[in-house]
Amino acid sequence: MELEDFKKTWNTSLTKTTASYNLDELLTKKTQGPLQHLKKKYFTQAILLPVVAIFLSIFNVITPALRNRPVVWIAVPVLVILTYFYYRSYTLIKKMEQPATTNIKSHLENQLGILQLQGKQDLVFLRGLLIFFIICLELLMFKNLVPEYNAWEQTNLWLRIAVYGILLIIQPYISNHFYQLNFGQHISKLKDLVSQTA
Amino acid sequence: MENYNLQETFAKQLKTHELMVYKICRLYGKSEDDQKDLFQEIVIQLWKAFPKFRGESKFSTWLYRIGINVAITQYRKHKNRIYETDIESIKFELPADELSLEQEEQLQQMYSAISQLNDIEKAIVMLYLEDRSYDEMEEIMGISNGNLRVRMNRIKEKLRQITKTT
Repeated sequence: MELEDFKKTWNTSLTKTTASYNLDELLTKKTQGPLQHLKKKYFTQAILLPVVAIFLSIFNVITPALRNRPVVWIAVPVLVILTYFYYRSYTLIKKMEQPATTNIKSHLENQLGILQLQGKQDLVFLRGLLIFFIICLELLMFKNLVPEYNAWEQTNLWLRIAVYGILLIIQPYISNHFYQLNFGQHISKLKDLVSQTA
Repeated sequence: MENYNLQETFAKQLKTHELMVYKICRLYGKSEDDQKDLFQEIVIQLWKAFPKFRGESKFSTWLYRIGINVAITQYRKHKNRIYETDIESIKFELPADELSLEQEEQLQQMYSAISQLNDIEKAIVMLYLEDRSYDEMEEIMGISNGNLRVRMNRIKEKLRQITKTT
């Protein structure tokens, strides 16, 4: 059968449907799209982590043994930073779910651009964060504020620099790995679709 | 009240154009469950976008843009999933008595051939079958008129080859 013949059958046979549905119910049901699961996960994390950070801060304040331990306090900003990341990912998915207002090709390119930009921003932000933590660690050791760090402080300076260097080298790979883990499949799909429109 | 009116207008528009949505579901959803699932996803996206529809393009153009986009990006075929929505069935009334057994077989053969095309090719074929002009197809797909014509010829040849070998 040629496509032209099929076109005739398509237009003459597919003229009405026997489907029935309840629109109200349809619009209120939860969708099962591929991004829904991730969105739900990020939303839960973005709500839970600040709560944990608050409880941890209160616990640190009311427990005299923990009050002056910088190591314990480090957990609080780490939780806040994680919250920020989960919230960013949540808003990213909300952006991805916006209906197409432009033509399909532009919309696909736009979505791919958003995802790739966020990947790059995350990479730079985590790099800055790692450098910040290295500086903080060195300062804490320099001021002798944390006894637990003595062993590391006594390690040869060049070895410490080498370890920091390795961390800075592998960080983009690790960041990229986790970004790909969450959004890699969707990025590949979008790249494939964009190439199909070329 | 305003939301109620909006939903009523939307329901009317959807009823008028629902066949277009079904056709998208038919081409992109493999099983009946897939088609129901996709139908729900498309309707939700249309509803979300409806308040921003200003009539700058035809309603059908707007619907195809959103519908095809959902079908190719946001929709994933589920395996062994429990279906949640209450759409009884998405079926087309086929005038069976008008189609011979041979014609029906050929019809199925063509559906099967189209299912082997990639997502964008499927969209182009569907718009072609729907008798959309190349200008409207360009407006929907964002692919130039000339490019669409060349691709349509290639797709026809591809379908010819697929149907020959099956």
